[in-house]
Amino acid sequence: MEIIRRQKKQGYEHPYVPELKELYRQGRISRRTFLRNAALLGVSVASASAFLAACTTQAVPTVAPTSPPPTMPPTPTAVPTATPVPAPVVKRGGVMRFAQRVPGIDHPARFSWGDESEICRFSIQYLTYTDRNNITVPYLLEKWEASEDLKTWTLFMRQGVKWTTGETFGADDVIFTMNEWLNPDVGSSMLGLFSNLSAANVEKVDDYTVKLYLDSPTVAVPENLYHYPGHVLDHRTFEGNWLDNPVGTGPFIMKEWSVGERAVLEARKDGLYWENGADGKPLPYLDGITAIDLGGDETARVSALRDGTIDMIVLMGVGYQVAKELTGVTIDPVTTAMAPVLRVRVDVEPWTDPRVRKALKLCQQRQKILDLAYFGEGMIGGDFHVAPVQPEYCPMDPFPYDPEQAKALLAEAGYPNGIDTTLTVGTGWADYVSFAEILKEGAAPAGIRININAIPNDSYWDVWTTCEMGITGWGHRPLAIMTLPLAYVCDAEGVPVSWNESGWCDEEFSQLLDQAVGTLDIEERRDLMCQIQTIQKERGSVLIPFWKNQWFVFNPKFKGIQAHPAQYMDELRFVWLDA
Amino acid sequence: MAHPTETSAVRSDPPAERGGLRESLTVLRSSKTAMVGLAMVSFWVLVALFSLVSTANPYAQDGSAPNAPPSATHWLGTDDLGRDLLARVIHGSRTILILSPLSVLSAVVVGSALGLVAGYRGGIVDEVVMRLLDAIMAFPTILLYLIIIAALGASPANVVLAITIGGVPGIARLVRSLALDIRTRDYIYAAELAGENSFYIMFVEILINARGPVIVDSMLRIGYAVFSIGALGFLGLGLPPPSPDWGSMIARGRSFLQITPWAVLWPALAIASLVVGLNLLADGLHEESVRYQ
Repeated sequence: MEIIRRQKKQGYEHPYVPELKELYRQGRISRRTFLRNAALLGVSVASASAFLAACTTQAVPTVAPTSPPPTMPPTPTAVPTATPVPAPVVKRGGVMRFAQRVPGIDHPARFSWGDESEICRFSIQYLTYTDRNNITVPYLLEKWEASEDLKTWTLFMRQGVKWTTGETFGADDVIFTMNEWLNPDVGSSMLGLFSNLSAANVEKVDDYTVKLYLDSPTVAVPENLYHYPGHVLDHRTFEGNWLDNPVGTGPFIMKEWSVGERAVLEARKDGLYWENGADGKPLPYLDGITAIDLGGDETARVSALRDGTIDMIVLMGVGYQVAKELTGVTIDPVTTAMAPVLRVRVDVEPWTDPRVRKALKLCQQRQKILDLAYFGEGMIGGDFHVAPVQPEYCPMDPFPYDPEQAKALLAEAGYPNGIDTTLTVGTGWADYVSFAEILKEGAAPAGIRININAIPNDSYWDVWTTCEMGITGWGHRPLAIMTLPLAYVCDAEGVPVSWNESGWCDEEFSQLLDQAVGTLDIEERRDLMCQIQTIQKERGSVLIPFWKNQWFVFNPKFKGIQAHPAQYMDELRFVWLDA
Repeated sequence: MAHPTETSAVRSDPPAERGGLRESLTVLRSSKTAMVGLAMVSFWVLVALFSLVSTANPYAQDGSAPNAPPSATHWLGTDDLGRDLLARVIHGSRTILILSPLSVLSAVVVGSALGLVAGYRGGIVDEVVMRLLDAIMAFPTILLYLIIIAALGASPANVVLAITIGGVPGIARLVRSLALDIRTRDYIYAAELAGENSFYIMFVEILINARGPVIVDSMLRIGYAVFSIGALGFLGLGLPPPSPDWGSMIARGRSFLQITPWAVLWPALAIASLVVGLNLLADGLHEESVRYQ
């Protein structure tokens, strides 16, 4: 407790932090939930970890007494740290080659795919970092503070950070970057996350401090700062296309970017990078990183890894089945909030009727879908877009497979002879096609006759918001309250927001979501999420039969690689080659 | 030498009226190559017919046996959804043996008509028709299929349409060249002098006498069509899932090739044996008919 008291003396502590500690002491929240929320409120992870250690020595339960759901991943045993601790003995040198799409890019704030940011993140960094345990910690920030009403956020920049030009990083860069996000002409998806912030309400307090005055309470500001287009840009050199002058604060410098072929990064040699390695010298340990574009075919990636053409791949599909049979590779799995989301257009008959939507949900043999479509490597979903790995998750049983009840619901809705429908799916996503085929078989006894329209993946993105029924892959986000406002709400005029692919809006759902986004109290927020999940499960527009695992597969000579649920590889700066 | 202007021209019997089915069978029987090809094709025809009475369900998913090796329960093993590969190969044969000949037949009908008109009429008609067909031929065939299927969607009808459009120019060129030759024969002049209309001359006099090369070409084209349907299925543009289409079976199994090779092996063998059979049949017929003549 001494550590906690000392922190109080040293500076500001959010008023909710003591209550958070009390909740943990009483065993009402888990270790992970405590760490995540403490970090979010500006408590350093070191302090939070020290508090946990103190509690442990006092024999306070480390796990919440409430039973975790059967599908809940195990609580991590290692205490997450802001800076991963590398192996005690490290070596310098070597180049890592990893498989990665190399798309055309220009303005980082405009990135609309994780692929675009994946290579840039080694050079242009973020203000915060959300680690594999969904705990968000300072990165280019030293710390942050939130007001009691969660409307004023103070961001304290890390001092001593230098751009590759030798200039000092500071508040001007953050304000410049945020203005880019908030400029509608730029077209950044960050604007959606910060819809309650205007450029005029970003205030420079001093050279290393910025205050954000939000129009409404938001609990997820730190997580939003790590959204993939949120790279911090140099206000002195950036002129619209980062590749024209690839200046960054990161440990690597971009040397070559050949679209569709490769990207080459070399270690920064100016000795000014702000993080030091275990040997006391500036990171990184590696001399360079090369991203090689092998396309989207996982089989080709696995073959390249096996042949030694590349050193690391990320798998999220059938490639894992082959990779796990390989010898001489290390596989690091991670549970994610990625999922195949089957959605129906609620403005197209017969899906306007919630009973018909529920009937379709009752046709899922969830375990079979998970076992066959994704070889059992994931967690069962319950048709609400909140994953067990997300802190807001409210444990809830999914609908069982019940074609008879589905049939009865269809009859009640005026379809006694069943319905015919077309399900559109991208042929390149093998697990989605399998999901479609299993659903087709499972839905037939209920009278739902599904015609599968398999089209190329690129063509799918032309119709993903318009086709009657489709399966869209949604990526991992650390918080459900980041996903739900993107996909399941309408604007003030009642028009579905741009990524609301099903067109589904529900007044009660939206109100509860607004409350959840601005609610700090964990138990209160979880109560709200239980209601939100129930609404989406009962009358929502999506089927989510499972949540996907993901794997980093790599040459074991490279030490310190850790899988990240969003595939992000910021931590390659800590990786070293044991050649 | 007869000439259309000579009144003494006598209509000679075209060779088509002398041969008939018996002659064709004689040619077929006299070629060992053709007989081997016929046996292979017949095997798949029998398999396709068997699928009509077979109770094996190519769509049934056995959740407990995904990617199972060949066994007493599943003779050829199962795919990643636990579906019986034998049932899928058997039912897939029916699909491919319907779609391939159908697409070639429709291409022959359209291509022959265009080739006859171009070859017999000549002049501006020939120029227009052939340049249009040249424009189609300028596209690589597989790219043409991809464009058509991507635009219209994957369905059996659209697969047939794509292969038809892809095959028409080649057949039209063949028939046109034959028509250019045949229209100079005496019996054509005789028919013209006898007052037969152009339709009769093109489709009865010329086409019937061009049938030999067209039949051999069609045999080869059926083999290409089998390949094309397989390729479209492999690229995900063939028949929609869960159709037991051999090409999509290979594409699906390819992901597991290193751990469960049978999922690729059986449909690949099926396509190869059917195409080889069709090619042997066509080659044998061609060689024997040339020798016979």
